[in-house]
Parts: sequence; structure tokens; C-alpha cells
Amino acid sequence: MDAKNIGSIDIQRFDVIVVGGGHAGCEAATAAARVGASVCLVTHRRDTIGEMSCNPAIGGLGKGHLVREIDALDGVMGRIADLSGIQFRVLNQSKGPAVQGPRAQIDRKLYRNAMQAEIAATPGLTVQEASVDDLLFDGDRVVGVCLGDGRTLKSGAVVITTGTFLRGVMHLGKKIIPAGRTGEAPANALSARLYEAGFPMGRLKTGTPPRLDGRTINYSDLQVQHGDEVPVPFSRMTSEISVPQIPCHITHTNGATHRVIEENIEQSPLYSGQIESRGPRYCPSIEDKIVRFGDRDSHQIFLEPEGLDDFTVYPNGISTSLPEDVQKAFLATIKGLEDVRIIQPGYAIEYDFVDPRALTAALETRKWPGLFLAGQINGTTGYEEAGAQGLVAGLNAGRATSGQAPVIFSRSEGYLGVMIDDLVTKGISEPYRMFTSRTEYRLTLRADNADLRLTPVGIDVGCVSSDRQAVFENRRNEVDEAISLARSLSISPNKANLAGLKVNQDGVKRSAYDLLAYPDIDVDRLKTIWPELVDLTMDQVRQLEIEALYAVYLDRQAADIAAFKRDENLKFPNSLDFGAIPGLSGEVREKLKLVNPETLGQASRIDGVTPAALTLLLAYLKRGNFAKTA
Amino acid sequence: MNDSRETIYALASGVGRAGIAVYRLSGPKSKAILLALSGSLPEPRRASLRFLQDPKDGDILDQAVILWYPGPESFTGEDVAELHIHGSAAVGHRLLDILAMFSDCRPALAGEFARRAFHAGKLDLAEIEGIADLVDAETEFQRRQAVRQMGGEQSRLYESWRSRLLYALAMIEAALDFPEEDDVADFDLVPEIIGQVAGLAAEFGAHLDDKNRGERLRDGMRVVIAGAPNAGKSTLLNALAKRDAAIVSNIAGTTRDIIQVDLNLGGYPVTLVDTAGLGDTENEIECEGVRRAETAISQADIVLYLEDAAHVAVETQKNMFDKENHLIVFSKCDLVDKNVPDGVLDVDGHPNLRLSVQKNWNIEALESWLLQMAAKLCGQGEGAGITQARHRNALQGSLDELKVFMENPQQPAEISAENLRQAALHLGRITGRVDVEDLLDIVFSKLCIGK
Repeated sequence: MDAKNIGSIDIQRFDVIVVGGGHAGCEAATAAARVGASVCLVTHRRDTIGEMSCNPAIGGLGKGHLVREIDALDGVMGRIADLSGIQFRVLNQSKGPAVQGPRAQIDRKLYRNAMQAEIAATPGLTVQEASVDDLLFDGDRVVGVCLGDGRTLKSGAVVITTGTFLRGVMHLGKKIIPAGRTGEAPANALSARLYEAGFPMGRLKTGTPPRLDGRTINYSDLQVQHGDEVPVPFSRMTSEISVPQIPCHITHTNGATHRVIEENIEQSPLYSGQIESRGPRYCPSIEDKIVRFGDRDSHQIFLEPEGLDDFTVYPNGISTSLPEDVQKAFLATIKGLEDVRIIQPGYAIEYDFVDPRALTAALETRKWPGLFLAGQINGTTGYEEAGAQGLVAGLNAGRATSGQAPVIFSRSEGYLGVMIDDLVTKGISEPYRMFTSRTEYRLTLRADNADLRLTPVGIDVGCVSSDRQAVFENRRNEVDEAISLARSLSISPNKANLAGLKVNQDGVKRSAYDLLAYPDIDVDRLKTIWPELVDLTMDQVRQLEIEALYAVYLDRQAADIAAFKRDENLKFPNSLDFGAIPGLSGEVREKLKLVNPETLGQASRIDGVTPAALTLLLAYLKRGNFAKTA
Repeated sequence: MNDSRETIYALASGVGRAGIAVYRLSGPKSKAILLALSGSLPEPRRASLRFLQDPKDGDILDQAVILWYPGPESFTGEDVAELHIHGSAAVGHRLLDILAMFSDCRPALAGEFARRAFHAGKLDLAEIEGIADLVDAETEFQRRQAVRQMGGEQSRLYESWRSRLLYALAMIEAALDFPEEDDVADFDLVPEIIGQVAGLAAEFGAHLDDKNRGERLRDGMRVVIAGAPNAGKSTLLNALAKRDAAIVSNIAGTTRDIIQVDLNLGGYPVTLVDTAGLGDTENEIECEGVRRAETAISQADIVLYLEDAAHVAVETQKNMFDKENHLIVFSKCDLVDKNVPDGVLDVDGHPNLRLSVQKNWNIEALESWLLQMAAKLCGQGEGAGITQARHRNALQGSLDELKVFMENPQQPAEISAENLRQAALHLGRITGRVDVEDLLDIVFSKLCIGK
């Protein structure tokens, strides 16, 4: 198509084109560049690259795990957050390390600037300001994009990361405004193209709270929330946080707030029928909270500063699409916000997404090879989820252009594997957010060992810098040394007792590693028995204690993972026609055809695929019947 | 939808000459076949009387009652038809010949109807097992138990346990994944969860502590007849079986191998096992017989230890039977007594019975004692007991995890969550349901999450 443009002087050629400069786009572009591709990032506006369009924070439970995994593969999000974080906290410090998640409040301007500088400094990566209206094809293969200004860019692969811009519509009371973000035009032509092509698509909703003028907030009686005394960075490459740290504040809604909202509920597009699409259950609007949980007399609001020299405050917890005057009225009932000025009202936004079951685990569309999708377009929510997908899509787009096989991350390797497998296998019914409860190997896949798990993969794939490789190898050796040391030191129960350690007098010798599994024994206590432990660094001590604490469960999960991999290794041949396997029910066949699982393990995770159906599939694979169809 | 799958058919009623024989069809061709045979489609699920004809030559085959169950509201979820024809071999053969002429139509494999029902989500694993057991049921109490399982009584119990377990897990997961929510109580502050888990563990324990009633009822109660050579074991077996199942002679060691007879004892399935006489022997074959007898005794639910009333046997062997569920039976009492006291007596804490097969003394009393024991050991198929070892293993695995949870209140919350997650996985294996989304549904419906 668009043959008229072929051969015109306006044609430029790249290995990979990334459409969109948000969190998915930035990771995709830099990842593709790291594996050696020439990359063009196309965005409406250069100065919005790295914009945080929702809350000014990165990380948390599950999400913090994803940032660490992005960092382990030398992605940018963790490092940029370290350069712009203004309040660092590790969540769940009262609980075990597997469920601790690093999180930081971010100065939006610092983040944007640092990200734009990173993009500019990435070799092989250029930025073009334009809208993308169509794709360029060679047969079914996507080989470039057509820009809104009439130009054509050719490439080996295209990654689309358009966030909420696909037919984006903002709702503010009864007002309906087509937009991808406040003041920015939606991407309607591209959406229409995907619809026409028959991609399975749906519509989702999300919302943001009003932005407040911090100078009009009365903080004097509000609860203060400080960050950790010693901020823990996201990236292994960051040695310390040098940005000044500031606190957040917490306030609450009350009966008066709830009355204002109840009286005006009809004006909310969520309840007037104006919005029908599904929003996330874990991020409900304040209207939803009050309607669905009417018995609660108060909901908390985190007042999050958007920057060190920015007086804008993001009131986390009260996303709303009520009309502006109602927003003003209910805010005035809240302690500290009595006289607050709204800088920008809250709104709900509806946008198109592509059913991610149309993608392979490499995030490439099955229908159109060469086209990759990442981020909210796949039905996810959150910067971290978007960034992790961007990284995987970018890596694979880059590899595809040089004829390399895709890198697939498995559920047993990391949260990014869990997320992508969930998306392409199960699809979504609400915006997908990462939780630690989504992984079956939670004790193994931790934020503290993301580098140990994934950096070796990154080194193999060639997306990790030599600096990071050196840092990683040094750390891995240190951790290994600490663990072998602890395993080599042992003590009889009798002597342990004399040293004040309570262990069973069963005559069985225990290693320092075994002893560290006891909740009340740490390396400090063991130093009196084994002075050689004094030489361990803080990082070694911490990593040793974590591994020892979970040792029993880690062994069990390792066995589970081995069993899981046996199923994952049973790959269906590419050309397998699930309709041709005898004995499967019509419903199961349809599901298998829709998802097109790549492995038996993936098939087992499709909703509605029964154990009996799996037995048939397994029997079919084992009999080698596929040889005839392959 | 172009569904290429085949239509299956089979005789659903018993084989052989009968008043009526029921043939069942399932699959996309069912409708076309029914039309071709009967000329018009009956109302769904209404018995209709039709002449069946051979579609090739219009020859009338039989007059039959036909039933039409359009999918998905059918046993298999597919289009299903039933033909109730006269139960003659000739009609049946002709019908099968006609059905074989249709394309994409073939005889069903064993269990294929049920498998299709399972695929269509009409039945879960436990219910399927229930149907299989019902079809295999030979006695009344077996039937009761299977009907309960097929009807989903067990599945409902396991599902209700699983959902309670998921609720407890969801509360912990919420505390782990949403630590900043004011709606989420801190894990340490939730004795409610501990109470719930303890309650579940107690119920699992009680359910497991059922002396294997359900499995015994399903598989039959094993009654082993043991004793010294020539104590009259085979004679007693024949008397209880009411037929000459075992060879009887006055020569000691006539029975060298195990002989089994299945009985329906007042609604209970009973396997009577006759064994070689216990005693010292040099004979290689007899030695093997004794070894087998000892194995049979160790696997028995009930042992009838026979002693010839005229030759009371060696004391040492009695120790072997010093257990409950063992009855000492003095046989051939007519040779030493004029008459015997009725029923089972208690001597030094050992129940015993004096009988004579020859005179029919106390045979009925023995039967009623066995019936009593059967009721105790098998139950009456009431409640949703455990009927399969597979279920027992899964439930035990689940209970083990709950115990680890309860014994380690100080362990980190994520490890406690791991215990409950594994416990729920074990339970889910019984009915075949395991899903993370269930967990998230609970978290989001019970708690106001989201800042």
C-alpha cells in the first residue's frame, strides 16, 4: 500500500520504529538500541517524552519488582527514578523480603528531563515529532509507518506504545473531550486501522484525581509521612540517592465529603451510563468507593507532591469524573483542603486496547509479523507494567530485524514473564496490574534478586552494558562466597545451646546457613560463634539471610519450577491445528484457537481448558502426531 | 461454526434380550440422524412415539420412543438423542448398521459420553467419578454413596472448603499486596484468619478420620477367613456364599491358594476370602499358601479366625488376631456340644462364636454380626465421605499445609500465605479447579482497595 511514497525522497529507513514516548516507548526504544538496532522514536511532542500522566510515583508491591527486573536487563526506568525520586520507601518492611517492594515519589520534571537526556544520549536512537496514521506493509509483514505529515518511515519492525491515546475520550461530568491526555490529541486513525484489520479490541476506563495547588493546602494538622531514613535506590547502578527528600501528607474523606458525592452521583459519567467500559477494581474512583463500600465512613488520601519546585499536589485516592464544581465542593469538606484551589480537575478516560491474546509471548502480533505492541494498548495499567512490556517488545523487535529468535521470559524467571504470560494466555477483563499474588513462585522471584535472576539472561542477549556486567559479576561472586561460607561452618546442637541458640538437642550438626532459617537468628548473632562472618559486607549479609530464611521453600519452588518447565518445554509445533485433535470439546478448541498456546504449560493456564483436555493434548504430543501436521 | 467433530453412539442399556433397549447419540449429527430415522423432530425433552425407518429404503425398523435433547442443555452439552427400541438382537443390529452409514458418526469409546460432559463443564472430576461408581455399584449402600457424589455433594463440600480457604488467603494476600490501604488490617492483627484455618484443619481432620468408610464401601469390605488347617474355613465360606465356591474335603491343606467370593450382604459389598490353613509346613506350595494367607489377613477389614472346637489351636497364633474387628469362631461345634449359646459371646474381651455349619447353628448370627461390622466400617453412604484414595491424598496434603501454618505463628506472612496457597491447590485438585483470579475476586469484593 501507499506505493506512491515508495522511492520518494521522504523515505527514511530504521531497524525499529517505536510509536509513543511514554514508559513503554522509552524502554522499547532504548532496549532495541542496546541490542544494536537503529531506532526511531516517533511521538506527538518531544517535550512530553517520559511524562508521568498519572500519579507521581514509581514502584510498590509487584511494581517495584518489575522496576528491578527492568533494571536487571539494563532498562532505564530504575536509573531515571533514582535521579528524580524525592521520597523513597521500601513497602512492607515489617514483612519478609519476598513481599517488600521499593517505591518512590517522583519529581515529574526531573524524571522527564532525565529521561529525555537518556534518550538523547542513547547511541543509534533518534526522535521524530509526528503522528502515526497508518502502517506500511509488505504482504502481511509490517515494514514501516505512514506519518500524519505525509512522510513514510521504513523499518524492519514497529513497536506501538500508544497508551490511552487510541480513540482516547476524557469524561468530566457531562463533558466528553476526545484526548489522549489533558490537552493532547488522541490517535484515532491508527485505532481505526487496527479495527479494520480485525484485531480483537475492547475498551477500558481509568481515571485521575484533580491536581491541587499545594500553596492553598493547610498542612498544619495533617499526618506527615516521611521516606526511609536511608533511601534504597531502584538500580544496582545507583550507589546513592542525591536528590533532596521531602515528605508526603495524609488526610481523609469524611461524612460530609460522602454526602456531597452521594447527592451528585447522577452527574458522574460512571453512574449516568455515559461510561460503560470496565475500570480497574483496585483503583476505584471515589464515587465507586462510596457506592460500593457505603459502610466505610472515611477513605484515606495521600497528598503527593509532584516536584521539589512544583507546587502541584496529586491527591492519591480520589480519582473522579464528577463535574468540576462538585469536585471543588467535596474537596472543601476535607481536612487541610478547605480552601484548596484546583489546578486541573480530575477526569475519567476511556481508550481502546487490543486483546493481548492476539500477541505472542514476544509481544509480536500474530496477524502481522513485525508489529509489536506494548503498554496500555495491551490492556495493562501502570508505568512499571508498561515499561517491562516495552523492554521485552523492544528487545524482540531489535532481534527480529537481525533475524534472531525472540527472547521469551518464563513465569518462573520473573514478574515480567508472569505478566506477559497472563496477558497473552488469559487476556484481560479489567486493566491489568501486577500483584505479588499473581506469581506462583513469590518466594523465589524477589526484588532483591532480580539481578541474580535476569542479568545473566541480559548478558546472553547482549542488552547489558559492560559496566553493569562487571557490577553484576562482582555481586554474584560475593553472594556465592557468602553462601558457601555459611554452608561450610557448622556446629553441634550442644555447642549451639552453649552459645545461647535454641535448637533441638537431636545431635544433628547444623550449618550457619541452616541456623539462619530460624526466625530469631541473624548473622549478627552468629558472629560470636564464627568471627569470620564479620568480614561480610552489608549486602552479603542481607542476601545470605534472605536465601537462608526461605531455603526450605526455595528448594520446593525449585522442584515446582522444574516440573513447570517440563510442561513449558512441551512445545506445540507452529502449524498445529487445534481443530484437528480428536476428542477436544468445541469450547476448548475455540479457546485454543484464539490463544494459540505455544506450550502445553501455557495451554494449561487458559481459562476453561480442563485437565482432561490437557491429557489429550499431552497424549497427542507424546504420540508425535504433530509430525504429520508440522 | 464448522464443527468437524464426530457424533458418537452406543447402547446405553444392558446387553442382551430385553423389553426395551436404549441407544444414545451425542454430537452435531444427532439431529440429522433423528430426522432421517423418524421423519420429524420431537419436542425437546418429550418422549414421543415414532416409527423408525431405514433412510436408504424406507423400510420400517421398529416402533420406538424417541427423545431429543438439543445442546447445550443435555448430558454432554452437545445435541443428544435417545432411541428406546425393542430389545431384540435383530433390531439392535439393524439400527447399528444404519447408524454406521452416516458420515462422521461412530460407536462411542468407553466413557466417551462422560468425557464429553466433563469437557463441556457439565461435570467436575468428583462428579464423573461418582457416575462411574454408580454404574459400577452393586449394592444399595454403594448406590447411595455414588448418587451423592454424582450429585455433587462431595464437590460442594470441597468447594466450600476451598472458598473458605481462599478467603483466609485473600485476607493475607491483601495485607501483602496493599500495605498502604487503611481498609487492610495488618496481618498480625487478624486472629480471625488463624481461627478460620484452625476450624478448617479440624474439619479436614475429622473428615479424614473416617476409618476409610467411603473407600471401603466403594471397594467392598474384605472378610478373611483364617485359621489352622482343616478348621473348616472353606466349609464356612461356602455356607456364607450359599454355594460351593471352594473345594471341601477332610484332608488338611485342601485350600492352598486364596479363594475370593463377592457377596451382597444386606446392601454392603463384601469380599469373602478363604485362605490356606496357618501352620508349620515343609511343603513349598503350602508355605506359599501360608504367606499369601498372612498377606490377606494384614489387608483384611474383618478376620474370622476359625478353631476346630475339638482341637483348640496353638495359643501363639491368637496374638495375630488380638485386634478389634476380629472374631474367633469355634467350628464343628456339633461334634463336641449338644447345642450352643445363641450369638456372639464375649470371653476375656475377645468376641467369639460357636457354630456348626452342619447343624446350621449360629450361621445367621454370624451374618448379622458381619452386617453390624459392615455398618460400622462402611457407613451407609451417608454424607459426603471420602470415596477415593486420590481425594484422601489431596485432603491430607492440604491438611499438612494447614498444620505448618498453625504451628508457626511467628513465621513471615508470605510463608503463611504460601502454606495456604498450597493447601488450596491440593483441594482444587479434587474437583479440578485452581485459579488465582478467584483470589483477586475476593480481595476486591471484600475490601476497598485503591489509593
